[in-house]
Amino acid sequence: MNDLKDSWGHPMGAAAPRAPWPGTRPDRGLARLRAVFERRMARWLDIRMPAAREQTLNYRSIFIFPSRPGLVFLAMLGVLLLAAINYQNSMLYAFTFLLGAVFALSILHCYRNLSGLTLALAGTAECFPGERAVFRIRLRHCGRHGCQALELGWPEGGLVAVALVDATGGEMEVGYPARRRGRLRPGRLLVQSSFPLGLIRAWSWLDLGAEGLVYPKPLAAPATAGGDGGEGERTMIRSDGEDYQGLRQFTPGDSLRRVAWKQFAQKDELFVKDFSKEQGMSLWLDLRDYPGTDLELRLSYLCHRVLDAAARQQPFGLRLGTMDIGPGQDGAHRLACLRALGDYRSGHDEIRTKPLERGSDREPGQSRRRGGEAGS
Amino acid sequence: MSTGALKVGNVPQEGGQAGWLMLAQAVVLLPHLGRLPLWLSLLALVLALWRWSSIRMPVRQPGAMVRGLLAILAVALFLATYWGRFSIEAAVAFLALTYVLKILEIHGRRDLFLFMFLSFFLLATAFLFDQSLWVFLYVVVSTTICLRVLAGMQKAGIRLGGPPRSERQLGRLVMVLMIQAMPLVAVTYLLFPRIAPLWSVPMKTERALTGLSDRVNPGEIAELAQSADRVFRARFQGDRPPLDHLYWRGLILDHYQGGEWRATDSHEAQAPAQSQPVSLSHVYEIVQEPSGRPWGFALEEPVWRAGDLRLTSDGLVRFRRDLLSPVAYVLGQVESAAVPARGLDFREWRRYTQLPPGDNPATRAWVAQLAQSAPDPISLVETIMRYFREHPFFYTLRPPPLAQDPVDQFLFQTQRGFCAHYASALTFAARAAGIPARMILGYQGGEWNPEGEYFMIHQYDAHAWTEVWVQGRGWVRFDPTAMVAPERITQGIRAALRDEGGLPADQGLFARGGDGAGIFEWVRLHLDVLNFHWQRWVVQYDEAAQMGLFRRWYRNVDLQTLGLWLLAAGLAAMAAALVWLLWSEYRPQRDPILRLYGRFERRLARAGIQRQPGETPRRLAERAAHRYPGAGPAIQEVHQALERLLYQDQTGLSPKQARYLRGRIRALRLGRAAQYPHGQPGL
Repeated sequence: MNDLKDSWGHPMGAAAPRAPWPGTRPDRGLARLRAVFERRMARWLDIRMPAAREQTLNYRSIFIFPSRPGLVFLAMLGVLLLAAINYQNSMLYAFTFLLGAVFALSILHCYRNLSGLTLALAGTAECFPGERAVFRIRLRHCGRHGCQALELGWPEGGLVAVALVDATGGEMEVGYPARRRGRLRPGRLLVQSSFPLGLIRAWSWLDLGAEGLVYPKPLAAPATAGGDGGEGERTMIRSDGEDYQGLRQFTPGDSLRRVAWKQFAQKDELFVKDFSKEQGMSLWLDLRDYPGTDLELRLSYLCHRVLDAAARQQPFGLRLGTMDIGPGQDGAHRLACLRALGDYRSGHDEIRTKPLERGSDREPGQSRRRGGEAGS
Repeated sequence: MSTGALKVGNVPQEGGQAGWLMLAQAVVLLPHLGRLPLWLSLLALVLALWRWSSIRMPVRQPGAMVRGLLAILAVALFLATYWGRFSIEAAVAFLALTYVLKILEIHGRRDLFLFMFLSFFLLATAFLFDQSLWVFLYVVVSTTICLRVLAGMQKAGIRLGGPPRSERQLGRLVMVLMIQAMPLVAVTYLLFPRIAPLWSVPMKTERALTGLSDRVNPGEIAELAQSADRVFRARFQGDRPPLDHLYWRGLILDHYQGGEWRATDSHEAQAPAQSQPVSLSHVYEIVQEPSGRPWGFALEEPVWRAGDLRLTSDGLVRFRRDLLSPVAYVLGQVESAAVPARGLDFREWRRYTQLPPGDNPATRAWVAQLAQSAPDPISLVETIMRYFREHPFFYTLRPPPLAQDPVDQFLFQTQRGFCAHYASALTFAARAAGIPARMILGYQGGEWNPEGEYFMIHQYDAHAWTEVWVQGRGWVRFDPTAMVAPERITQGIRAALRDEGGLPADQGLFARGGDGAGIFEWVRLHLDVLNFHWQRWVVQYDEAAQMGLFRRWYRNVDLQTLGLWLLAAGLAAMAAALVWLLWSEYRPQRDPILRLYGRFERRLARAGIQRQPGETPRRLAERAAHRYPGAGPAIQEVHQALERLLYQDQTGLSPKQARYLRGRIRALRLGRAAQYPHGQPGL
């Protein structure tokens, strides 16, 4: 599964693993050293454990080392051994060996607990900045005793404690804080456990190819932001005023207030009452509406207006550089617009050749290329 | 959940963990309670209850201020109790104090870990005082409880698939860990290189205060405190000598000053190596409990046979350092006729006739008067011995205190005392007559353990007697106590104290029930035998024993070889544990009903009814019932129950059902087959 590529053809798994020591504040020299170390570590991990959507932990991918309490425990064993030697106390020897044996055996138990655990990415995450991107991860363990006292997650997003009681497994959600608009690659996922006694920590950094999308942060454009005060180009499609137009099929996103309940009771099918004014005017939201403003800010303004228009059930279209979306007004359209906004990359205004492709999540027919019409 | 197992309010499931923690605290402190000062034991109890109640109900935890004051107060109390006593007992008490105060300072996982490690440490210190089998077993159980607390600290988290983790599962896990650890412990115990102490132990134990002392002042002792602690066990090869032969010499008290007898160190010369073979009257092995002193015990005229010890020219056993662990050694007793008499040199003569001038004038005058009518020194000593027998002396552990001129007072006024009084008076009198004499301190007699065929010598067997130098015969033992209370020597101290209401040591809760035999006595003796072997084979295993073992099995080994063996054996044990783990994890699980059916089939096969290929279970059962008509209904019952379980019930097999059926299968009486004249009918 080494050939997993993302939508731009870049190999996946290039993201560096997060520092396993969150919260430490190194000085600059140390930070550089650590950066070098992490780069090398990341390279080594990429070779040893390449990215794959589903991975099973085994001796190649599990690392084991005494945890911090375990190190203290070992130091205590050293003191006990010294006491046994200096007091020539046989039973102190035996006690030291007993605790040492338990420590050594807990390495095996710790390994047994984690090995055979299969993790698979079950779903990707989309969200606004400041929220947590929630990835679904499917867990399965092929042994009989399951997998106890497991923690997984990205250190930045907080680890989630979970236990697989038996071999059936299940799904769980792991969050990652979304900070910036764009593709979100949390990097390698930390899976760890200090089962059974907390003295030994076994862990693994797995690249499941997790990738999320972060929409722009919705910001209301100030009146002076430029353009025509936030109104895009208006095109009258129909101008029959506020007349009742008749019934049309319900699509997700339609207001429930307009549902024709009487017809629903008769035909068991959802219809909405259509008024021409609501549809009459299509709003085109364009990235070029705010000249001279920072790209991210412009995207944020557009995002706000997309949400606003969708909330008001107003049909709108989105024009991003060479790409037109819409017009439309249903939920799917809104989602397509948000995705386009989130995925928009500066510098790709004109040369972009490939639209956002999201596998099964892709909504067909929602985006349409405008080709050479750009800027016309 | 960052507060670990102790925050019970928000995570009700962790309530059980707090219970385990409390239990761990209790078992860790329990073995030390007798040694700790009362206030510390009470403090432990109060703080544990406080903590316990704060978990069970909303009781306010003491604030930082209160905790700080409490700590300062406790440390002050500790200093007041142990000021100037830099002993193991004091160190353990300080550790216990830290432990007890830490009970209030458990706020998070880190504290809990530290607390548990302190628990292990405190548990280990129990071995500094007692290394018996019982303490070992106790510590193993307590360790399991502590490990259970550690296992319970694991975060529970979300559960996927199946019911929540049960408490018993955790217990089983810890048990498995302990069982797997045992072979590793055994291997390491045998192979880990035993080396000499890296530096001399700075701390002494206060236990030495309860045993023999190298100074005795009979006048000052109002009541002899004697315990039932075991001092050593002695096993004789061949016949056991009578009790009055067993004078276990430990110390020579040769210096008298102001009523006190003291041992000087000048007699610690090495005994000359035995050049020619001598005939031995007895060979005996001693397994001695740690006394905190470097003294061992031997009968008169000992020769070395085995053990890490030194024999002085006076026939005393000395170890290289204070005894902190049990030790075993073998000695022989030279036949008395074979001992060549040795002369006393001038310095020795002066040492053994030393007396401060002036005190006890009545005794001196009395001895001077006796000496005029005595032809030789030995008859003089015998005259004094007769004096003890012919006058109303009384053997008691509660003698009146003696002030000035204690020997005069004892000989002519009070005439009540125990062995030290008599020995002191005799030695003084002999010296007053110019006869070299010395007081010997040790043990006399012992309790015979018929189950293990050895003598058990207790603290209450402590004894003092006199040795007098006789020209041509050497040192001759005189025991004046035997003149006063002969049963003390021939039957033991219990017999001597019958009038006084028995031995003080017998009045404790767990003391032996006097001479009463019965089941308790039998159990007591058997347990002692177990402990004897434990001490002899396990505890006493030291550097010399390790080398001896390997020399016997293999050849001389050095540390490097030992280390390699240890590594190999340890890895093998680990590999075995890993195989066990993975096997129990991945072995195919058979249906319990089918397993039960297999058991049924095997039972029938043992009775000669093999299942034929293609035979259905029902046919098999019918055939078996026909062959064994007596067991027919039982066979049918089991068969029908299994058939129902296999083909009809969807509920599965309950443990109760399984137990019942297993019992029925085991109880099948397939003893007598039906006799058919023409062989087995074709069924």
